[in-house]
Amino acid sequence: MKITKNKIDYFLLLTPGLILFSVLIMLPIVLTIFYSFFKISFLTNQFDYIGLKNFYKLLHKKDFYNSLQIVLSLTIIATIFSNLIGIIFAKLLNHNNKIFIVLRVLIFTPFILSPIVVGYTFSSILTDNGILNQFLAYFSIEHNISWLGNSKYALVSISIALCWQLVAFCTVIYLACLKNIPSELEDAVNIDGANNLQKFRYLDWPLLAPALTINTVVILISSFKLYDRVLALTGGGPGRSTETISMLIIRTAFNENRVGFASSMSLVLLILSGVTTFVALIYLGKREVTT
Amino acid sequence: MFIINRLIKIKYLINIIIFISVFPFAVNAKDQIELDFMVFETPNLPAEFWDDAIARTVKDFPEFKINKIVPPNVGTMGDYLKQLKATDQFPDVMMSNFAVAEFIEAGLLLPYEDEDLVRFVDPVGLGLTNGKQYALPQLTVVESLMFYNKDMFNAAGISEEPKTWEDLMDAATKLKSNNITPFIVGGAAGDSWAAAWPLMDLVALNVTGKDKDFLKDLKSGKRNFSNPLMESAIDAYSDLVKKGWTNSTALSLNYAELQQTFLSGDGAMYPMGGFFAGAVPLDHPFEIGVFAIPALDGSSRLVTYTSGGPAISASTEYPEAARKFAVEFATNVATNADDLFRDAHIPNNKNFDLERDMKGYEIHPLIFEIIEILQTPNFQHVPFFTFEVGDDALVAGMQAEVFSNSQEILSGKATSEIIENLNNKIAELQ
Repeated sequence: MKITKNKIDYFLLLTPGLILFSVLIMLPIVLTIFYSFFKISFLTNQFDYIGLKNFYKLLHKKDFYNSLQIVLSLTIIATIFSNLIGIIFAKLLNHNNKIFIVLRVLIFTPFILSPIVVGYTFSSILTDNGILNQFLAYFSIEHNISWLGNSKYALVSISIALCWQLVAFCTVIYLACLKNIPSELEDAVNIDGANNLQKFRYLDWPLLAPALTINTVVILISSFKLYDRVLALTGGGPGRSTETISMLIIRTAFNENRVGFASSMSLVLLILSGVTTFVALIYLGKREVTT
Repeated sequence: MFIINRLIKIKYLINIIIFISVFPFAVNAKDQIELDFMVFETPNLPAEFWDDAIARTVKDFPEFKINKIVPPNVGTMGDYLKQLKATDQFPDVMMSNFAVAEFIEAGLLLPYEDEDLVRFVDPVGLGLTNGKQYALPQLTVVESLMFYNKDMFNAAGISEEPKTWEDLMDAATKLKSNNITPFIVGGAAGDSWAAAWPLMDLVALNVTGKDKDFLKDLKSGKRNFSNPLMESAIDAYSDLVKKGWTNSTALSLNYAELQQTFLSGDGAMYPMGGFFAGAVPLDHPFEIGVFAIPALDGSSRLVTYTSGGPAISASTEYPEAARKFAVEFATNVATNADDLFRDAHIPNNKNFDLERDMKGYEIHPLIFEIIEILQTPNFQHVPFFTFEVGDDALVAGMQAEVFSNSQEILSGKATSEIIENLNNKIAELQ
């Protein structure tokens, strides 16, 4: 193969990106895979090869199944509600009036906030004497609900905080997609006499397919690795009722000094989120092609 | 030409002035010993307390340059230290307000020499590991205390402080029948340690303080948590919840809110460590009293914690200097006085004199009551459960499990489930 100056240039241009990608993305993944076959404690510098024992233990770990169930519940709730509300907001804001431009900026604000800030903000809203219960009390509605202290409601509270931020992202993506719908098509639908529902069903919904793919993938990834908002809101409690897999990994690695075992959990989480995202991409991607 | 020469001279002059003014600092910087020092912040011990305390020691020993490090949460200080260790940022000196046993076992802490301990009234404190002290016994905290609202006790017709567990239950019954919430407990999110406080007291008073071999047997795997003493200790806590004697807000309050709930008069009794006294304002609207939480079997036991001073990293670049700084910091009389005033930490310093050194401070009478309880002759002092060191130390990870299961107790989980959780966890970690 002849090495031309052009090829060297391409290679040189790619090198910084490749180095960053390798060091910041690939190396941690490779290390996680490597660590998951060892019994490691950062505290004692223990490093013993134990083969697949960590994965075998994981199969019997109740806490892991509990966290998996929590993450899956949150993922399903976030995917459905964030997309649904995102579409509604996008449709409502799809106007060119100056007020709507301001509203668009406002609706995106939650997404640029740090998740930990969102967590603490919601904890002040949802605490027993918080704004929500005071608001409910104002309307003489049952207001003694412990939104964060009762395990029945804690997960719902986290879902609300999660969706609040993701809705902002979904809205902007859907809005961008709606803006790209050719006006000729809209005119054609109007001439055909379609009502609003029909217009959405036969025009908007099929053309929103790429936005749905992007949003779903982002939501899936965000929900699987959820950590900071839960940490600020409930710390994984009461008990372990809202402990996500990421929190379990941190606890196992740094509280119980079992870095190898925590790595095996990370690997399983990576595979789970990877497979789920891949399936979603394939399925939603096909829909894009069809439409 | 004349002007150019003048300018050159001025340039030289400026250089000389800069050199003269910077030189002493450069020498100073070279001679200074820079130490990373991890402290913890709480509502009673805010940043200002630590800054003043560090400044006092540095004023006396200017060779030290101290970089203060604060963990995100006092309850997760141990975890944070492990993260720092994993990233090669383990501090040189750290306040030992965490379960130090696993750090000692891992060889991460430097033992103190006998000469470092001569200034302390009780040099042993929480305990020694292989005959060595790894965390300076800077202060004593009485952990098994019940603070109470005197107005509510009077309203319920309770004339005497409960002396036995039965007395305490009688008092709670009377309070409840007067529509007063008998106990304020809780601890949400990162403050799950506060939810565990009553359980740690009950276990220390009735299990580990009574059966001296329990923790050793637990560690060696001879026994687990399925033990009648342990069951009765957990039952004692969960009964309070089942009977509706605790506040319904328990699991949504962080530590600061929990403290405020009692101070606002939302309940009659508050089981907490002596440091709560530091949070009670002198002009508080109602009078607060304090008594020792009684043991279930009527024995006179008191849970105490004598430790909490600085520990030294075994990998510090300046072991001698770090030890010196730690000892000077822990025995600084002015810092001890401020600590007693703010957090009711009773100094374990031989040079500290309550009357002499607390002049200028208006101490809350509760602090004197706590000192009186500590000095009561017949009390057997027992270590605080989950904070033990040496052979009695719990395996790493168990403390967090105790914290989390305490929240489960407050959620209404049965004792059998709690015991099962603890047994599963200890089996997993051993």
